[in-house]
Amino acid sequence: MTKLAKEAYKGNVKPIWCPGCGDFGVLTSLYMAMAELELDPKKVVVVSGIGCSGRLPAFVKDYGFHGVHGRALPIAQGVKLARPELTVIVVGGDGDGFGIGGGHLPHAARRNVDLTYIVLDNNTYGLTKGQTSPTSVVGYQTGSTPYGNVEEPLNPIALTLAHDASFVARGYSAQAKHMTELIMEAVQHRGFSFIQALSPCVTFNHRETFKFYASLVQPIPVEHDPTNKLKAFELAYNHEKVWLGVFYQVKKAPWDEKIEAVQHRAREKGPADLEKIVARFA
Amino acid sequence: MEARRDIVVGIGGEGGEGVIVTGDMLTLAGARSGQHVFTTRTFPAEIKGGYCNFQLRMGDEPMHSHGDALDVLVCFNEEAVINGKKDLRPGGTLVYDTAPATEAQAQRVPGVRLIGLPMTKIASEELKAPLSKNMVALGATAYLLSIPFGSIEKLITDRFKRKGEKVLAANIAAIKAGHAFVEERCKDRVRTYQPVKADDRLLLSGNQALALGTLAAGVRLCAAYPITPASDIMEFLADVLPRFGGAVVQAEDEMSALGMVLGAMYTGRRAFTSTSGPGLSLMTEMIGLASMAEVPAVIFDIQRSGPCTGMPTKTAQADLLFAVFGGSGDAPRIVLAPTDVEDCYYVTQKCFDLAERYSMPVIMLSDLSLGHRRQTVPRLRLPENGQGNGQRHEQPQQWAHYRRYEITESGVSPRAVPGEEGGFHTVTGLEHDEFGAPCYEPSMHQAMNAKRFRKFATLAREGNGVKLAGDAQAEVGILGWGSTYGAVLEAVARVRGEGRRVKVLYPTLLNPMPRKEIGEFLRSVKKVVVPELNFTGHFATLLRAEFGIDPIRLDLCQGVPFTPGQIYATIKEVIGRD
Ligand SMILES: Cc1ncc(C[n+]2csc(CCOP(=O)(O)OP(=O)(O)O)c2C)c(N)n1
Ligand code: SF4
Repeated sequence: MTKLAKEAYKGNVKPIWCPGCGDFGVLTSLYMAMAELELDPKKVVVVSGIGCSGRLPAFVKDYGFHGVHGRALPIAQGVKLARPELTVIVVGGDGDGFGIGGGHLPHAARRNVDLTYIVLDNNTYGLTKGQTSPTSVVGYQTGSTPYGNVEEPLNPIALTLAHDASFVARGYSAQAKHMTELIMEAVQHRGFSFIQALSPCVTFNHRETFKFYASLVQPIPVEHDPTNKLKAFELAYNHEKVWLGVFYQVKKAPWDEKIEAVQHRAREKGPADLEKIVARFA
Repeated sequence: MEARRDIVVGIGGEGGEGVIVTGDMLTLAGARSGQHVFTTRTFPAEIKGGYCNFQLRMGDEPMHSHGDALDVLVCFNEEAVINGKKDLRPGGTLVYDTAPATEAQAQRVPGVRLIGLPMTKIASEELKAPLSKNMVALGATAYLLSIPFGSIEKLITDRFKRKGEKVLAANIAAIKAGHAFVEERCKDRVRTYQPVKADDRLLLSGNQALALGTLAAGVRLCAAYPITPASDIMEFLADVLPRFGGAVVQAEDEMSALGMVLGAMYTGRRAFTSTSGPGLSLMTEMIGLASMAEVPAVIFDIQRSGPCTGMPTKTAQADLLFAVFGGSGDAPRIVLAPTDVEDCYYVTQKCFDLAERYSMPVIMLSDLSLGHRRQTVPRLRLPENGQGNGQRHEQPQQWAHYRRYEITESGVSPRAVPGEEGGFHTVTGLEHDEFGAPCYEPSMHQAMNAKRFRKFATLAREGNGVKLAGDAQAEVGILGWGSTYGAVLEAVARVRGEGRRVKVLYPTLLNPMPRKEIGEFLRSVKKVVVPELNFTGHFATLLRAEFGIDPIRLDLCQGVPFTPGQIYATIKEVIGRD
C-alpha cells in the first residue's frame, strides 16, 4: 500500500465535540499514527462504547463499531478473535472503561488480546453533562455530587498494571507528537496495549484543565526500565508529577497465538471432520 | 408377559450412587440393540448428593415424549420408593434394594410386582465392592427389559477398562450377579423385543444436537458464560471447535459473551452465545444494539425455571415474552423455537442463516427438558463440505457508493465487512442515516424504524416452517411452541385413536409470527388450546395481541415437562365442553 496522508484517514462525519475539547488532540494523533504506520484503512476496526469520546469511530475512515456504554472491549475482542489479521483500536471515556465497563478491562488485559485500548480520560462524564467519574478526585463537585465527591478515584495506570496488561502508557492530548508515538508503539505491540490519554473536558471539568496539566506533566525519566513492574507502580502512584510515556512493556504471547496453540492441540486429538464427530453418537 | 411396544423405566437414588450411569448404560445398550429411546432426568438441587432420578422410555417405534406412568421403578434407597411410587402404574414392577428401610417402604406399595434385589448386600458382602451397587441394579434391570447382556458387558468394558483390570472385573461381576439374581427368581421379564442392528440413527440430547448444528453452520466462535442448563454446549464445543480453527471463550459475563459475538459477526464470521434466563436478562441492552446497528447475532436460550435464579435445574418456557420484547425501544429480533431433539440441529443452522440474511439478532428458545433429554433420532444431514464454511462471503466484495443502512424495499441493506474495499462505515446504536452517520431527524427515525421492521414483512414472504399434525378437519386445535410438541403429539394420537378429531400447529418461528399459517389454523377450528410451561401464558398473550383471540390456556409451571396424559386429559375435557 502506498503511504496515505493523515487526511486520508478522516471520516465523512465531522466531530461533534465542543471547540477545544481534549479529544481533538487524541483524534489527530490517531490519524497521524495510522498514517505513519501506513495502516490499510480497510483492515482497521475502531471500536467504542458511549460517551463524547465514544463518538470517535465515525470520525475515522475505516471500519468502525460504536456500541453500547461500557462494552467496547468485548466487541473488540470478538473482532480480533474472528479476524486476527485486523488492527483493532478501542477508544472510550473513563466512565465507559472504568465505571460501567470496568468488569471487562481485567479480562481483556489478562487474556493479552492484541488490541490497543485508548481511554480518553477527562475525569468526568462529558456526554451526560459533567457528573463525577471513577477518576474524579475527592471533593469534585458536580450535579450528582453537589457536596463534593466522597469516593477515592481509581488509578488507571496502577489498575492496568495490576491486571497484567503487557503495555501500559500515558499520553496527553496537548502533546500530539508524543501521543502519536505512543499510539504507534501501542499498535505495534503484540498484546494488550493500554494508553491513558489525558483529554481535558473544557466544558464541564474545571479542575483537570489544560492549564492544570501544563505544570504537572513530565516525560517518564529515560532511565526508567519499562520491564520493571514495581518501578512502574511507583511512577503510577507518584502524585507530585503526572508522568507521560511508557510505564511498562513486556513481551508475552498474545491471545491469538495461544488460541492457535489450542487449535493445534485439538487437531492432534482428532481431525476437523464433522462426520467423525457425529459418529460418536451413533 | 405383555407384548408391549414400549416401556417406561424410572431409576431413583442418592446422587453419587450411580443412578445416571445406570440409566445411561441402559439407554445406550437399548439404542444399540435397535430400540428407540427417550430419556429425561432430574438433577438434585444439592451440589453433591441429593435425590436424583432417571427416566428411560424404550420401544420399537420412534417416540415423542418421556411417557406417562412407569412400568418399572428401580429404587436404590428409601427416598426413591417414596418419591417414585406415585408414578408407578398399577401392576408395574418395583425393584428395590433390600436394605431394611427401603424394603419396608417397598412392602407398603400396593398392587405392584415387588422384586427385592439385594444390591447393597451383593456389592458389599459378596463382591466386596460397595461402589458397584448400581451395577448390580444395571444387570438386573437389563434382564427385565431384555437388553442383551453382551451389549451391557461391552459398554461396561469400554467405560472401565481405563481404570484397570480390578475395577473392570468388579463391575462385570456385579452386573452378572444382578442379572443372575433376577433370572433365577423371576423368569418373567417385563418386556421382550427382537434386538436388531440400527445404524441409521443417533442417540443425542437437544444440546448435543444444537452444538452439532453450530458446527454444521460453520461457527468459528462460541463465547459464553457458564450456566445450567446451557453449559454443556460450550463444553462440548471446547473440545472440538478448535479443530475447525475456531475458539470457545468463557467470557467474564454474558454482556461480554454477546459483545464478542457481535464483534465476530460484524467481521463476517459466524459466532454465537448460549445461556439461560439470567444470562439473557444481562444481554438485553446488546440485543437492542444488534437490532439497531443491524449486526447479526445468535443467542441460544436454554430456558430454566425463573424468575431470577428460580429453579436452575428445572425446566420452563417462561422467557418467550422477554425474548420477543425484552429491551428498550422498538427493537426487532427473530425468535425461533425447536420442538424436538432433531429440530435442535436444523433450527440452529437456520438461526445463523436468518441472522446473517436479515442482519438481526436471532434468539432460539430451547429449554432444560429439551436440551437434556436424549433421544434416538434419524441420521443428520451434514453440510456438503463437511464443516460449514464459517464465512459470509467466499470472496471479499468491492463496494462503490456504499451505504451500510441503505433504505431498501426488503429492509435489508448490503453488509460490507472489514477488509473489503470501499465498504467503510461505522455501525452504531445511535439512530443514523443511510451512511451510518448519527441523525436525529424526525422523518429519519420514522423511516429507519420502518426499514428495520420491514425485514419482518420480507421474512414473512419466505414462508415459514410450521408443524401441522393431527386431523385436517377438527373442531379442537392445539397451538403450542417448543418442547411441549412431543407430549402433545402423543396425547393427540391417543385422542384420535378413540375416534375423536383434533389438530395441532407448532410454528418454529415465533417472532415475527407466521400470521398466515396461524390465522388459517385459528379460522379452521372452534376451540384452541395453548399448552405452555409458564404461569402467565406467554404464547397465549402473543396470540391475543396478534389475533384478538382468547385461547384456552393450559399453563403448567412446576419445573417439569408435560406428560402426554396431562394434555390428553385437557383435550378430552375441551372436546366434552359445550
Ligand atoms: C447503560 C447506559 N447507562 C447510561 C448511559 C448514559 N451515558 C452516556 S455516556 C455516559 C458517561 C460518559 O462518560 P465517559 O465514559 O467518561 O465519556 P465522556 O463522555 O466523558 O467522553 C453515560 C452515563 C448510557 N448511554 N447507557
Ligand atoms: S462535553 Fe467535554 S468531553 Fe464532551 S465534547 Fe465537550 S469538552 Fe469534550
